[in-house]
Amino acid sequence: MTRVRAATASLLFFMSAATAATVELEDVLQALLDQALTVQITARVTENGEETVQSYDLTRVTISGRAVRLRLEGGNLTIIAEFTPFEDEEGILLVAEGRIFLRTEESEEVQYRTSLRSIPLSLGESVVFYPLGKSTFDMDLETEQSDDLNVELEVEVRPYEGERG
Amino acid sequence: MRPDRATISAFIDGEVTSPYREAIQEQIEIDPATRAAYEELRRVSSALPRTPEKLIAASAVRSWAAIGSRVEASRHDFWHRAVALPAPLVAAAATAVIALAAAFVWLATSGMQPEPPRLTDFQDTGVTFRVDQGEIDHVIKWLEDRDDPREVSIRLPEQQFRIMGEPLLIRRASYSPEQTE
Repeated sequence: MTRVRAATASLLFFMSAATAATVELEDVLQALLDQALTVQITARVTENGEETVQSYDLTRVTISGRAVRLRLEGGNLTIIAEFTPFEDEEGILLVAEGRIFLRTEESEEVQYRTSLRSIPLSLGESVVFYPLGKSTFDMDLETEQSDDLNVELEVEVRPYEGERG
Repeated sequence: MRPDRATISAFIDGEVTSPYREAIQEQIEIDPATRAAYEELRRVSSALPRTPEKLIAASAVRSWAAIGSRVEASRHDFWHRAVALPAPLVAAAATAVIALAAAFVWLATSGMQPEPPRLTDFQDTGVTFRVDQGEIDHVIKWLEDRDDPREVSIRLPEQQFRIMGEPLLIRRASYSPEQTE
C-alpha cells in the first residue's frame, strides 16, 4: 500500500505542477499581448513630391517604449529610421528618429544629419515622416528641379489584434 | 576634411558610425581648431539636463509595471474566482471521480500494480516557466541582449538623393502645405 500511496501522490503532484505552470505562462503571454501594438509602415519613394516610384509595406508588433527600426539604402543615401510608440491614457506619443548619411558626388564628402520628432496621435491615426524634408512646401516648381526623389514613411499604430491584426 | 560643429556634436552623442567616427577622432587629435570645438561642445553637452531620457525611461518602467500587475492580478483571480457549474455536472463529475478512485484501489490491491508515472509522460505539459514581479526585469534584459531582429532593410533606387529641407513629421489627415508640426 505504501507504493500505491507514493504513486498516487506523485501523480497528483505532477498534474498540479503541470497545470500551474501552464496557467502562469498563459497569463504572462496574455498580459504581453494585451499591451502589444501593431506598427504598420509604408515606405514610399516619390518623384517630384507626387508620383510614387517605389512602395514597401511592412507590419511589426511591438510594445510601448520598444522601437521599430528601418534601414533604407540605395544610391548616395542611407537612412536609419526608428519609430517608438509610447502609450498612455490619452493615446500614443510617437517618437520618430531619423539618421541620414548622404554622399555627395562632387566633394566626396558625407553629410550626416540626425533628427528627433514626436507627435501625439490616436490609435489608428496615420502620420508621415519625411527624413529628407519636403521641399514642395516652399518650392517654386517652375524653377526648381522637378525630378528629385524623396522618401516618405507613413506610420500607423494600432492595438495588436492577434491573427486578425 | 574639417568636420563641422553639427558633426562633432553627433560624434559626442555617439551617433556617428564607423569609419567616420575614426576619421573625426583623428581630426580631433591632429587639428587644434577641431579639438577646441570638440572640447567646447563636450562641456555644453555635459551641462545639459537629461530630462527627456528620464521621462522615456519612466514611461518604460510604467509599462512594465502595468504588465507585472496584470500578471499578478490574473494569477490571483485564477485561484479565487467563482465558477458557476450546473448541479448535474458536479454530480456526474463526483461519481466519475469516486468510480476512478475505486477502480484504482481495486487494481492496486489485487496484485496488478499500476505503472508509476514517469517524467516523460508529462513532457508536453510540464513547462517550468515562472515569471515573478522581480524577474520580469531579467526577461526584459534577455530580450534586449538579443540581436536586433526588428530592423528591416529596404533597398532604395540607385539614384542621387538630396536633402530637401528640415525633417518633417505630420498627420496624414491634416496634411496640407500650411499645416506642419
